[in-house]
Amino acid sequence: MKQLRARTVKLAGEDVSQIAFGTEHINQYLPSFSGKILRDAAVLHNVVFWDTDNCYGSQPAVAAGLSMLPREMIKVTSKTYADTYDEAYESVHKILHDLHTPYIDFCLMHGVEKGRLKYKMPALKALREMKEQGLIRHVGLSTHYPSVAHAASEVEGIEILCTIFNRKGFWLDEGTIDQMAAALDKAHNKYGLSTYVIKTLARGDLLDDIRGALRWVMDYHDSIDVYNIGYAGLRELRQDLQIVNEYFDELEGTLK
Amino acid sequence: MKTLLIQNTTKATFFNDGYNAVNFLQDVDILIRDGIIEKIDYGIPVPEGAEVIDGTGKLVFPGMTNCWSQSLLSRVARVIAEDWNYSRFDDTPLYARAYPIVNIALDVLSDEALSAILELSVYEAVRSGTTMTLEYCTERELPIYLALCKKYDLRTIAFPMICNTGRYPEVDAWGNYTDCLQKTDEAAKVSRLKKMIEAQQKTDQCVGVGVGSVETTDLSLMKKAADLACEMDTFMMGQINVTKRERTFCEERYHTTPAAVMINQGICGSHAILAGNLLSDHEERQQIRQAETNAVIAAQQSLLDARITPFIGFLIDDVTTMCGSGRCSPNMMKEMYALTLSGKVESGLRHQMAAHDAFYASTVGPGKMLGINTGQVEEGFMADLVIIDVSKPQHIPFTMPVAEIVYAADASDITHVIRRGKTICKDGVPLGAEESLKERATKAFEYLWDEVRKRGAI
Repeated sequence: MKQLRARTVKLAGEDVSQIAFGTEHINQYLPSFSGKILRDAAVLHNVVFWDTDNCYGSQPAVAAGLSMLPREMIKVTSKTYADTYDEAYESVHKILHDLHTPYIDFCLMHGVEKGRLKYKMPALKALREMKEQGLIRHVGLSTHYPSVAHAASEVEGIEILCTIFNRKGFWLDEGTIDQMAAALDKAHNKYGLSTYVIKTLARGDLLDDIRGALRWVMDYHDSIDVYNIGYAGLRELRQDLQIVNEYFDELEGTLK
Repeated sequence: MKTLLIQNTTKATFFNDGYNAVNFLQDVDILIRDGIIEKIDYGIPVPEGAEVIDGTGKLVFPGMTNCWSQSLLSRVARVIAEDWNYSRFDDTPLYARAYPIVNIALDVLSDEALSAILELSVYEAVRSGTTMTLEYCTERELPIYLALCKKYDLRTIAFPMICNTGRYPEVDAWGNYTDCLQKTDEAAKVSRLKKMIEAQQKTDQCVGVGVGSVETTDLSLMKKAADLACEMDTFMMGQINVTKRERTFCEERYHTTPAAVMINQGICGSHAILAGNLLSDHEERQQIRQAETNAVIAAQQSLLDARITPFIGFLIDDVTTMCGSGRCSPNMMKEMYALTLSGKVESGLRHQMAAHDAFYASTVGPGKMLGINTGQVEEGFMADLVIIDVSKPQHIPFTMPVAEIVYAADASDITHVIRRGKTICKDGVPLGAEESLKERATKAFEYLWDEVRKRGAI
């Protein structure tokens, strides 16, 4: 039987799995249990890219998972709501403390709202400094707003753009899914940013047609590097991974 | 105040607004100083002179807040027969059975006897992990209840209800209702309540403004009560939509619903807590939300009345909604369980009213509603905590802490209840309790039942 393993792709120059494990939904378990889910996702399925944030309650799970594997094997995103320089330092040090790790691979300015990007510059400065110090490997931004995503490409120091992207446009704020697609295209293809998309299944609202929903997102693969999907366990991950791999197998077949 | 260190434990808490995220940490230490959680970390050194609790095999979660307790009613309502056909009395046993007994208790019991009965309720609340109550009571019960809370170190906001008669409404044996809206000296009632509030200000056993429901309280008195709550910067608690009688009365007298009356008259605002809500419909819920008023529902009570309380309806309508025990057992572990069952049946969806929703409504939610830093096991919060032993066989496998608390744990699993850093219950026994409680309470009830029988209430 063919092993079900995620493809490896580049995100800001780092090797990551093509699908990221959105960890919010494993916060219902004890970390010693949820950490093993993450470990198994990495070992069995090469899902070595884990997405977390302090506000998801899943950082203890990620910390537990990290403790079970060689640190270099896993790439972790965490996020900060910091606006100021000091808040950013405080926030990143808390993340490092909570994850029991000397560095995080990707740190995103989280959920940047319309009109707020300019106020994030002191935090961005601090994040870039911490990148120099080796506490963060790469800096990025996440947003629900197409207008913010559009503007983010032009901000020096932002290497990764993370946005909501699903075929119904659920959870988008003030804008359309076409505008978000354009923002991803601009970031990825014009400015050379790495991109990954979240809420591809709209927090479960598109579960009635998972295959259709994921394939719709993957049709924008020219603008997207990584597909972040939230899981409560390996069963869901395997199902989605199968769909993602099947899509890219077909694509590669077509290209050949 | 002393220093307390809980070592090597697992903590479960809600910690964030937007995502309602639960958070667990294993093998952590929790350092409490002067009643506040000072630090949560791994391997905290034991401070000199600190009391240490070994948290191995235990789970620490926030002390629960019962947002609508009715201590006296909860004791006497236990005797209500399930085979009684209450349809004559608007499907509720309150008017026919419970209220007459409570009224007799308030008439005939001495302070000592009343205290013994109320103490049973406080005992039960503390034993089952409650660290705060919002007690809806009568003026007669108030000083006794406050003293008991002080004795047991239970935080409370007690709401002595002012209404026109000072009695609960009843029906006679033929189902005729008491008229409770006789004229009263409203100014005197409000003035007396103001003094009660002033006497307890800035204590852990403080007083808010209680008002009766619309069939017992004139709107003019309600308005005065609401003004008093604003003046004293405290909350006002009223009971609403608990019975069909209340709605019928409201329709006949005011040609509208109870919520509409209270809100349109400017009685409710963000300072108000409307408890009950068994029959609050969508339109009323929207009115409650627009008035920024808080709601409390009681799942055990509604289930016992063979009804489903609209908690999810309240959440969908975006009303700040908490839970309380009402006239049922003040055991919040039971209330959380009932809440999940009730929510699932209400929605017809098994994923609705999940365990963590009930956990939220009993812990962090009330803290946020009241503006008190309780309900979370986080640094800077008051150390209002419950510790349960999850090493027992009934808790294996222990992988989903909140589900375990709500669906599997009960009060007998609780090893410690800690209120503001002080242990108030250990190994199932509230430390404020005396040996004589059982004897005093039994004697009080014997006397009460004699009177209840003699007066024909049973």
